[in-house]
Amino acid sequence: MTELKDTVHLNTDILVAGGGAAGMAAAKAASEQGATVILVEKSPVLGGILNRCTHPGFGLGYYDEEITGQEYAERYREELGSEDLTVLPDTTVIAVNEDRTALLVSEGRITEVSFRVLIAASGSYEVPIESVAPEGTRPAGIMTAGCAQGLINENHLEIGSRIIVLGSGNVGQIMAGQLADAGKEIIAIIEKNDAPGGLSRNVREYIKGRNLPLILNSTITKIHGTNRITGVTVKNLLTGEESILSCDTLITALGLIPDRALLDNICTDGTYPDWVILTGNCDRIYDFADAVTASGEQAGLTASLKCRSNK
Amino acid sequence: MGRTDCDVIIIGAGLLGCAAARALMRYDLRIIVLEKSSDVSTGISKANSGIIYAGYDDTPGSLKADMVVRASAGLPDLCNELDVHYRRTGSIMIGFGDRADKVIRGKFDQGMANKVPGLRLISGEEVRDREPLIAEGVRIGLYAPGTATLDPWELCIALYENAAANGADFRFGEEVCSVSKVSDGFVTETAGGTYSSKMIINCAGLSTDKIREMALAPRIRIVPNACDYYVFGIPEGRSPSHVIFHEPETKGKGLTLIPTVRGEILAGSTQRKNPETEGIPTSEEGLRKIMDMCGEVVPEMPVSPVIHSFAALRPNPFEVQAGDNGEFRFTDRRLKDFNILEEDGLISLMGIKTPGLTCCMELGEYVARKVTDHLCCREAVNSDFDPERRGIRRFSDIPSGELAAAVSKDPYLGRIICTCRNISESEIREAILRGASTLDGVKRRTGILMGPCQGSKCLQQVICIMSEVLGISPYQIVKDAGSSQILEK
Ligand SMILES: Cc1cc2nc3c(=O)[nH]c(=O)nc-3n(C[C@H](O)[C@H](O)[C@H](O)COP(=O)(O)OP(=O)(O)OC[C@H]3O[C@@H](n4cnc5c(N)ncnc54)[C@H](O)[C@@H]3O)c2cc1C
Ligand SMILES: Cc1cc2nc3c(=O)[nH]c(=O)nc-3n(C[C@H](O)[C@H](O)[C@H](O)COP(=O)(O)OP(=O)(O)OC[C@H]3O[C@@H](n4cnc5c(N)ncnc54)[C@H](O)[C@@H]3O)c2cc1C
Repeated sequence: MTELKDTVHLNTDILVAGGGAAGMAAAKAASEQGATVILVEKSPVLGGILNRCTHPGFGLGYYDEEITGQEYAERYREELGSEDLTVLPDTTVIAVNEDRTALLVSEGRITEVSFRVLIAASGSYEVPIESVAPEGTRPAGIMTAGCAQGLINENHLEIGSRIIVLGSGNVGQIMAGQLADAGKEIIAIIEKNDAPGGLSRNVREYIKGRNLPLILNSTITKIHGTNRITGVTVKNLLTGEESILSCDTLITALGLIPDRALLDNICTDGTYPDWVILTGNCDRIYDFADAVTASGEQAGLTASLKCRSNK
Repeated sequence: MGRTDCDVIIIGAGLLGCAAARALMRYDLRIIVLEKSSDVSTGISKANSGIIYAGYDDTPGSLKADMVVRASAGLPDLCNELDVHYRRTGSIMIGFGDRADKVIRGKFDQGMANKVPGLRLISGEEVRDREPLIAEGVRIGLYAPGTATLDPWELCIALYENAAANGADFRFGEEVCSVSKVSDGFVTETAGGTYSSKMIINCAGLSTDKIREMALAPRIRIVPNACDYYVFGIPEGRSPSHVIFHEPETKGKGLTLIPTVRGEILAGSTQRKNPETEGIPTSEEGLRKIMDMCGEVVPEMPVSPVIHSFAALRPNPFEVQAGDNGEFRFTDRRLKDFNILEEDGLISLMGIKTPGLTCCMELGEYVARKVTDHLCCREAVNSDFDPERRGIRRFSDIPSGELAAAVSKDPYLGRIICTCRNISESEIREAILRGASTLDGVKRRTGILMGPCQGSKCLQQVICIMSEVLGISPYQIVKDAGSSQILEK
């Protein structure tokens, strides 16, 4: 680590904040257009969500073959390797200012970047349990699906053994399937609509293929347990009937929300200056990584055009 | 098992126990604090409204009224000394009809008698000028510029750290199971040890009656009731900037809206019976009532996203009467004031509800006066007492001009773990070094997992850091108590 007591200043045409599928694609596309690009990623490796996806189902659009999320990220990182751009891993964008500067933090160093266009590719966070606002307690053993996925696939940890999954979208199904494969008991997948969410291929593969118990038209109205969760009250939204299911773990897969925390300083009534381009899940939530890559490429192109017209 | 001797045993490390410990450390005394949990601020002190009251709610002449105005005025200095975030919001009590009008005018008179600074009755128009989100038809407001908010657990942790730095001996995981009077004081027992002391300060919150009755006949019983809260993550500008107390037209609790030091809106507080005292569940009915009241009082305020919901217990003190035949009768006479019972060296702070947070240091000093009188040691001051404590340096509090230098000195400061609130790994490590051993302990000391994403982005990393720094397996990390493992095999 080099000691730098002063802020480092950098200049670039395009600053890409976030190095998931979207940010990588945006950086690559912009750099291919001849723009100077700095790509900033909070984690040590590029890839974002992809890095914790060990399941297949990626790449059919972009690579024409079905691979896992981790493989998708790996391949894309290789493609990016041949580009002439600056990648700053282990670095976080903490603020973006009206004067088109951004503050970056990494171990031992503060960097201020002046840019012409900002591509916001900071991904998403997961809808918290409080959006359902069940009554009762908030004991240990409740976590979001993405967090569980990271702990299991990246840290090789286990989270619990008798599991209820709330939400039957793609994320909920994939997590339930993976946990079932690891020998855990899936007590139920609870879905408020009258059919499972998510892609039909996932329903086939995970819910039908593994014969997972799905409870439709229902939600959770109460959480039980003081130390670790012991169960939930499930309410049928059509009949109003309630029953208690016991479990030791509740995984919430209630959807994703674009994460725009880094744009707080420059947001007025939900809109951003015209030098900001949102892409990937930071813009809207995508089902497919391949579509996210396409969205990122488009953002990279648009950004480089903007830079040129501003010259 | 040996017996530990000291001058004063304090039972309970909530706001009151910690404040009493700090106040007593100004004297040359050996103080031991026994707390059943593994951390401070796990009882009433972690779940309350966090309001520093101006002082118009309390009957003139009561102990509460006597303390609250002074305490409220002294809090900025206290928070400065202890490096605790404090937000002077001011407050407006609002009313829409005849009943509220009368109540509010009554509070004004009471406030004047208590000498609350700057207190003013304002028109409905001025209410809406100050807080445009308040529903039309608001008729009257009581404006108190001195009202403020803070995070109660932050103050409690600060009091604890300062008391401990000055020599108070805190022992966690020590549940008091027996107290007995002996000739020269008391013997207190926990599962782990026996303590003898000249005095006992009973600050056990909801259990003060149980502790007291280990040694004495019943006088006051604590009968808790519960209330529910929501925390909303509303952007500034679309939520009130003052604390709002809504005085309803029907008897009962109105809506309270509290802008927190972290920029959220805390909405409470309802009232309902609740027999449970551990892991207090929220109620559907209470939560719905808050939403309904928001719709009535601040119809334009968005009530999403909900960041959190929680329940709290009020330690209501009720009088107990001694019957003729040596039996005790539990009355339904609820005691309004702070109840501090002094019985031959056992001081019990019973049913200290609102404004106990505001008055915690006043109460601590009150206890210290009683102790020094009882032990005749007012002269024996601790000349080494240092009232200052520095909080954990928060990345987000560092001025931008000093960031580069700070980050160059502390590598962990450059690792941002929470991007919702810009909380660094340095803060998490420091929290653990200062004694946080549970996830909630880390959360309360750093604010991590409290932002809009509620930890969905960073819980994974927090678990890894805790496991490394505490030197334990991730499976041993608990949320707040013995068997609340976050992960299970
Ligand atoms: C459980 C799950 C299963 C999925 N399964 C499939 C599938 O089978 N097939 C498929 O095609 N798609 C699937 N997807 C969808 C797809 O993988 C994602 O939509 C896509 O990877 C999102 O890419 P992104 O770049 O928008 O966001 P992310 O991958 O979230 O990337 C955002 C990046 O920004 C970084 N970042 C955030 N804030 C900052 C900051 N302030 N400074 C620096 N960096 C920052 C983050 O660290 C992160 O690396 C799945 C998604 C999930 C959650
Ligand atoms: C809903 C609610 C809202 C409030 N809002 C406000 C407000 O806005 N402003 C304000 O000024 N005040 C407010 N208050 C009052 C304030 O919160 C309390 O006065 C204060 O927190 C009481 O602190 P305590 O130390 O007495 O209790 P606690 O924090 O409960 O501490 C008691 C401690 O004793 C320990 N203990 C119990 N039994 C034993 C045993 N046998 N052995 C060892 N340890 C034991 C417990 O574990 C606990 O840590 C509110 C109170 C409530 C209930």
